Amino acid sequence: MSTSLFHWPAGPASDHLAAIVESSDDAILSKDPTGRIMSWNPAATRMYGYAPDEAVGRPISMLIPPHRAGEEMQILRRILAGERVSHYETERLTKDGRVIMVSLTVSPVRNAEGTVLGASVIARDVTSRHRRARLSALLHDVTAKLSRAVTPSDVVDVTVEHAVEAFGADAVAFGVRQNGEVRIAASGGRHPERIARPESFPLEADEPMAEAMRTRAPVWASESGNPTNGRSRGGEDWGGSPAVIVLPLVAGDAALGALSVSFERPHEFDAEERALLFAASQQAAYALGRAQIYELERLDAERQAFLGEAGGLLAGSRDPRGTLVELSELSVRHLADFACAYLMDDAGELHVAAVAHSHPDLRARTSDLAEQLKAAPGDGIVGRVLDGAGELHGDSPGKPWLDDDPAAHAIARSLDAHSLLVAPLRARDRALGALVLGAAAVTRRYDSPDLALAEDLGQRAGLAVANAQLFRREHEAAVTLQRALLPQGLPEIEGLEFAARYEPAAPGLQVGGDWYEVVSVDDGTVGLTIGDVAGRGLRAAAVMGRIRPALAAYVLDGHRPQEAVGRLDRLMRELADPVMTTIFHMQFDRSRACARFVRAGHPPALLRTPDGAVTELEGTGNPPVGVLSDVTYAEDEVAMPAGSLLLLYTDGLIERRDLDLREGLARLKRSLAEAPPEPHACLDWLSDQLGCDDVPDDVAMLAVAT
Amino acid sequence: MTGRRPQQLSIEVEHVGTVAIVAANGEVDLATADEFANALDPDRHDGRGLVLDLRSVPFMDSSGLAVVVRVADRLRDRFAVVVAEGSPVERLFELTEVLGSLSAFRDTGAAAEAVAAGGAGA
Repeated sequence: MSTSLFHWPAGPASDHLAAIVESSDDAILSKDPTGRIMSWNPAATRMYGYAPDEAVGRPISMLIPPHRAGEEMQILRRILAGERVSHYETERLTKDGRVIMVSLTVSPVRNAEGTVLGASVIARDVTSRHRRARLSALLHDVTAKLSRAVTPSDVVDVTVEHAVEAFGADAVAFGVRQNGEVRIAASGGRHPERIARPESFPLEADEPMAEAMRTRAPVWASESGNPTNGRSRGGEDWGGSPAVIVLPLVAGDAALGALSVSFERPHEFDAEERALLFAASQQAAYALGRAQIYELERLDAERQAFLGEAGGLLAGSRDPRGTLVELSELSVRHLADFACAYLMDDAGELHVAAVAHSHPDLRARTSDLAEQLKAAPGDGIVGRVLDGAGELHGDSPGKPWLDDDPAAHAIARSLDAHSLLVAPLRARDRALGALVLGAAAVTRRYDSPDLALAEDLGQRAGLAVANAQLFRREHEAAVTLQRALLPQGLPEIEGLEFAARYEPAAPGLQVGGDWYEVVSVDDGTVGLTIGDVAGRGLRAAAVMGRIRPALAAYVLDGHRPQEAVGRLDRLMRELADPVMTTIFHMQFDRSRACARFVRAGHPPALLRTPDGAVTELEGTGNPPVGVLSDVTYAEDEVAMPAGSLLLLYTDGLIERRDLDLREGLARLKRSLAEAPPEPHACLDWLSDQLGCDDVPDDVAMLAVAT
Repeated sequence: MTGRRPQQLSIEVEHVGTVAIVAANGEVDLATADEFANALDPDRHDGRGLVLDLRSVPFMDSSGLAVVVRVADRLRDRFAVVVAEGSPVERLFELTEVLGSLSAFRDTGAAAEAVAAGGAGA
């Protein structure tokens, strides 16, 4: 029964009102101006837990949580001023210490004269309405975020984050189905570490997630840590306070994963929570399905782009080892965390040709792994693929992971490697080596499309390597021929010092037809020649091999420079397919200390006289030999006093793509001015100063000190 | 190390009466010399005189030079080159002493006139 300090006027109307108050679902109470409770209906007892005799006469502040203490005074002040407070939402404290959400309507109670005697309070418990609104907002939020999730990991993260927030769960885990197993893609919650769970397990495993995915039905368990005990199935029927709820994530016909929500103590799920959990897991399943399709498309596009880039790289390949180094570097930028490549030598032995890791600090360890993997050629992981198909190795349960090679396994572990692709490098049915691509735990996991890609790459790289090996052999043959055609040694001539050098262009390019020659004639004349046959390769070298001795013969026969060069020009134009050749030819008369020279299309020789001045021997200038009809060659004379340094060279020394020939020549002149007087030292100095190592053309040089 | 990527060379040919104007654009080196030689082959131009416009060639090596000189020797006064003043190609012609064996012009109009006149005179 209620106790009222307000004395309702007697009569049918007041009895009627009292009945309404007694039967109301809302708590109805009244308080005096000092805040003392004056009346208390049965609904107030139900809501707050206090019986009428525990409430009436007590201060209303006992219902107010400490952090809301100031609120009561404000409400009272407004009531005493005659105002009414409607639908004021706030928190109240129950007898057993729970905080509930209430909506208050507070009205002043006046006597007949209009004086405020106190206030009536109507309170409605809106706790569940609030929770509903919060869960609905969460569902709205998770839906919006999932619709924007692009990658599978976005979907996983959004889902886990919201599940934790919605249920205050101790642990939430998202398992994704991959290659016949379930992998925990993410976990969260207040104490995720307290829930022991393997990182991945087979779909057949006795795990709640695996079972939910197999049966496509929710699984719940009443005690965590022992999921088989008390597990139940059957849709929403988990009213018995489970501690673990596992929902399968089903899109279309496929179970793509499972969501597990765990509590340390049994947890009551009300209808709103269940609805949210179902709706959110359904959204997550569709978002995951969509993201996985995007992911496949993206990976496919990435593979195509990689193959395109690799194709360009391989097409320009001229150096087998260099090709594999670049390919490994390209691989770790696109589809591997580390890569190594092997080449087989003529004896059939494998050698590590290239090693790369996306993290440079781990390169040395990758190198160790590369050595370890090739240790057993015949049946080892690398040796096995040489004559067959590529292999995919992963640490999935049920598949051996480097189990035949514990040492390799240990290194792979230390690299966080969990998946390897091994593909042969083959060309024209011949095994040339192998390519290994590795994935580290956090970034990727290889699948059969990746294996197909690695095999394709192995085929292309194999062809490129074969071509590069062929090219290298040709290049070596041409260099050998070139060197064989050059003078084996320079003649010993009293009073003169010589040094000569021939540097073939980098292996990426064919050798040219550069040559030099020193001929000593009986009358004391010395013939000095440098020349350059246009074009490259064996043909240029062969033409050079014909004209070098011819010119030497004309000189030995006593022909002056202009006659010797003129005869050479006519000889060359007799050839079936004449080749333009530039020549600087000089005959030095030791007794007169002067020289006559012909410059035929060739850059001018440089003369450093004892006073230190460097002169370009331009002379009259004649066109190159071998191509133009009716050329008469002119010669010039220059004094070469004792102590002079003469430099003959081919255009490779001054020709740079980024540099005008004149600038290249000016640079050479400056270097020669400071060069040491001894010819060998002089050539070393010039090579150093002008950076001859990375010149795109052959370079021949002949230095003479008088 | 692998080789340099092949340089791009594009060649445009325009036949104007008895003169073929061949404009090269790009580097002429060992990698592009064959293509360059094909475009200049007199047999491809039905006996027309040739004007070779080299103003857009930033670099030429001796492989390219050999092609130019061979065509010049074959066509004589029915061949002219157009080079920009002070350009690397002109320097190359100077330094290799072939400039004197070539009719060189600064624009294609004058070159074409000279070649047409040469053809008429031949």
